[in-house]
Amino acid sequence: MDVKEKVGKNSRPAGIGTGYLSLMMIFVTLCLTALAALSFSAAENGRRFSVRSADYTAEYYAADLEAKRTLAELDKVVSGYSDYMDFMLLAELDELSGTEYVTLPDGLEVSWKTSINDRQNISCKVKFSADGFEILDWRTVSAGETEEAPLGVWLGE
Amino acid sequence: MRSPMKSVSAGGKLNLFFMEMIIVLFFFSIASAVILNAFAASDRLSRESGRLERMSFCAQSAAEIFSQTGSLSETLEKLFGSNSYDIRGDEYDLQVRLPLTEECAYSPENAELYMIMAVESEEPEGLFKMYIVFTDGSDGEALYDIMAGAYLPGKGTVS
Repeated sequence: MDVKEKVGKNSRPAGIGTGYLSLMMIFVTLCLTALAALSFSAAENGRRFSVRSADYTAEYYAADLEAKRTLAELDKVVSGYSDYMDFMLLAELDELSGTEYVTLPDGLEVSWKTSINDRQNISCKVKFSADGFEILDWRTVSAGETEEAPLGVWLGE
Repeated sequence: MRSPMKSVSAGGKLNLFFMEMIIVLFFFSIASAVILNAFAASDRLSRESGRLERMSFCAQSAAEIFSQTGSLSETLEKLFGSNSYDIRGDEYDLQVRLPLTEECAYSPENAELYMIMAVESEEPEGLFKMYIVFTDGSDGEALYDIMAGAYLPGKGTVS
């Protein structure tokens, strides 16, 4: 009997046909490209986040140092007076820009803000008394944390 | 009419298969080279960001300790747990250069990074400023730096 008759009309030849390799290569390459792109994008996002976080840390400590400089200047000024209602002391405090003060029966409360960046400030409040100074407040606040501005909405009147 | 494909002999089909394989391997090798580069770049980026994060945390810890103590030797003691550092300078200006690993651990034998810390006194008395700079262990390139301060009115000079 002839071999061709044994194989039959609809049977396929053994092995990988032409084109399968190309299809497989395209599929594998697409998968690898997608994974590489995702991995690169994740790494880039992580790096951007790290840089932003590290920059913020540097900005924060630079602002903290500036706030401590102001505290040191205030301490130097205030320590020269025993009477916190002294006109000369208040005049010197007025010269220090950005500071606000309140005279108390037992001391003097001074507050000021130091800018970390355009969005945040360090808000400081220190009480000076005969015993030295006491830090009442030393915290990071939003730069927009000012007086409450009402929204311009109709209130039904 | 006979199909032109059917007219290819068994040997011809084998030749066609090998020719396709060569073309596929050629394109796959080019694509793999590009893709491997992308993987290598993302690995480098994630290593760099990990190192930057560790440097930032280390600098932050040093700044926090310094703001409480105002002392370079105490900061080093609390940060790295040893007092075998070579601190140079006078009573108003001190400096130390620490060899660190990539994980920011003190390691004199294997310096992958250097952490340079310098403390100086400022006016008015009691105000101290500390510079922290991280440099690459091989080429000395500055990688990260911060500046921190301490105000301790009772303390006259740096230590």
